[in-house]
Amino acid sequence: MSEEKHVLSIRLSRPFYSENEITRIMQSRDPKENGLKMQAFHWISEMSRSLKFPVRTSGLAMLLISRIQLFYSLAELPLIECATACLFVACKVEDTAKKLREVLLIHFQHKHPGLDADSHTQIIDEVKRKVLGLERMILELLCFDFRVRHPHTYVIKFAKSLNFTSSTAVVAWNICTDAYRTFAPLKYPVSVIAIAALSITCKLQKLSQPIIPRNFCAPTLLTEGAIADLLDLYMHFQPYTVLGQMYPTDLLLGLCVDFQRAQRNSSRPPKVTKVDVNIPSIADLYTQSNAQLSSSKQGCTRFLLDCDRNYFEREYKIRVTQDGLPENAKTR
Amino acid sequence: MDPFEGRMAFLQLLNKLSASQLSQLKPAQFALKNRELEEDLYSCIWEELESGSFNTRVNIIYFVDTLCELSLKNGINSGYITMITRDILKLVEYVVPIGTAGAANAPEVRKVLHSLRLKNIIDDVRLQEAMNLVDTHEQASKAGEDQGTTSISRADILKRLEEDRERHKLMRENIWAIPKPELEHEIAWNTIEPITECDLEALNDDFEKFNECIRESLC
Repeated sequence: MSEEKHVLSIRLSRPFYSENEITRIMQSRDPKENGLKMQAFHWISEMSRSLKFPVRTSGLAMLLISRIQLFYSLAELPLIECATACLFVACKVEDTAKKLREVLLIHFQHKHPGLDADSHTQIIDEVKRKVLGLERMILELLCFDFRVRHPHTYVIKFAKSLNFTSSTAVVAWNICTDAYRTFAPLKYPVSVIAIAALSITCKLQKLSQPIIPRNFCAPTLLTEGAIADLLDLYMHFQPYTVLGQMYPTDLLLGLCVDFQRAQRNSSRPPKVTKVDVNIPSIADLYTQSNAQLSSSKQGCTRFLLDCDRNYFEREYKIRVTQDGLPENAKTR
Repeated sequence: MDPFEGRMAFLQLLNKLSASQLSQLKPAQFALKNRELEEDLYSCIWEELESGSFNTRVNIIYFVDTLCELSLKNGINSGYITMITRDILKLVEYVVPIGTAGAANAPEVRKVLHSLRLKNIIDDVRLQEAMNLVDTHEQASKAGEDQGTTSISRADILKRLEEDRERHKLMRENIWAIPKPELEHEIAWNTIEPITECDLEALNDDFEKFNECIRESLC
């Protein structure tokens, strides 16, 4: 009998990923997944409207879909049930809780309009089973870290402090809502996204770009990254966006073209489109770790929110290698 | 179902009215299901109002709101709604009579009146008339005029405390609800203050965390 292997997996919460890490993962995915993702976002938007959720709840749900897409192929998951599960988790995290029963009812009504829910309890039970299973997966991906911020509050604060009017703020608000349909919230802190939104708004309303104080924590390089992501969204998925309903296509395309030209003329390094495939992607590491855990008879996963890196490395070396346990999967 | 049976059943449901949502929904659903008896069932509401304690009356006025909501939800814009629109002032008089009971019920009635206005059951004119009525009666009650209404028992007061607590709890569960996403930014603009030191600290912490994550990234 081979010796039992005890596998310890330590998961550290990571609210942000680098541009390259995300590119590395997405380059090995089927581009069709982006269409699926937009469908999931649309579903979340519609359900949020019915359940009267504020934008922070629907936003977080979309963020969770993006996070899922990094670690799992969307084509291999039940898409709509996933979206509902994300919304369910989000409404609990954002203090806008609705009973699962009610969420499932709205899910049923949207999926099968006109049908009577009471005579289809079996279908609803099946969905309930899937949603609860997916909920677990989502919580693990989130590392149970519910400290989430949203750009919307800050875009209003910034707008007021920089003396913009309410009509400018509303456009920037809508851009922040659109931002959830990109990877930007996983790549940049909310201050960056809020300033990026204001910047695009100024261009649209032909206002001069504001001077951003340093303590707003929105360095130009990062802001430009977020603007690039947003303009990319407007270029390829305009009908799915809020701003896309307010402005004509040629105006938005014009913005994209202007921005790209400005980037080329500046000394910014070009955007990396392919990352070395010899570097394992985070998704690969995550999948490996999960496989190790499920194949071992004794597995344990620890989720950590924050950690002093040096302390962690020291303790990890002492406890793990001293006890003679095999090298285990340390994933993020 | 004949009118007699209907009245008996409905009165029993109305007797059990409390702050709980289910106790409100059951009679509302019954009333809508048995619309052919609507005149009879409607008169039951008056019976309960006339004989009930101040608690019962406040639960009845909330029930009126629930009934209107359920009615609209099911696309029924006449029947009960017409009768309620017609009789709203009389309803208010019963729930806010002059006396201690009346004064206690005044704030609840105002809430319900606003709710009915939002649903367009009553228009601005009627709303103003009703509000004036509530105000007059409330002031008269406070001035000490008592039209001989029975004094409130201790049990009633305790029950009322419980039900108010329950109503507050239910209200808080939905306080975050946004009726239309397009309106949310307006609410935000009116409530959010400009940047403070506290905010800047929070943003800085976020930024630090961001830098940490990027430092750790694989590529």
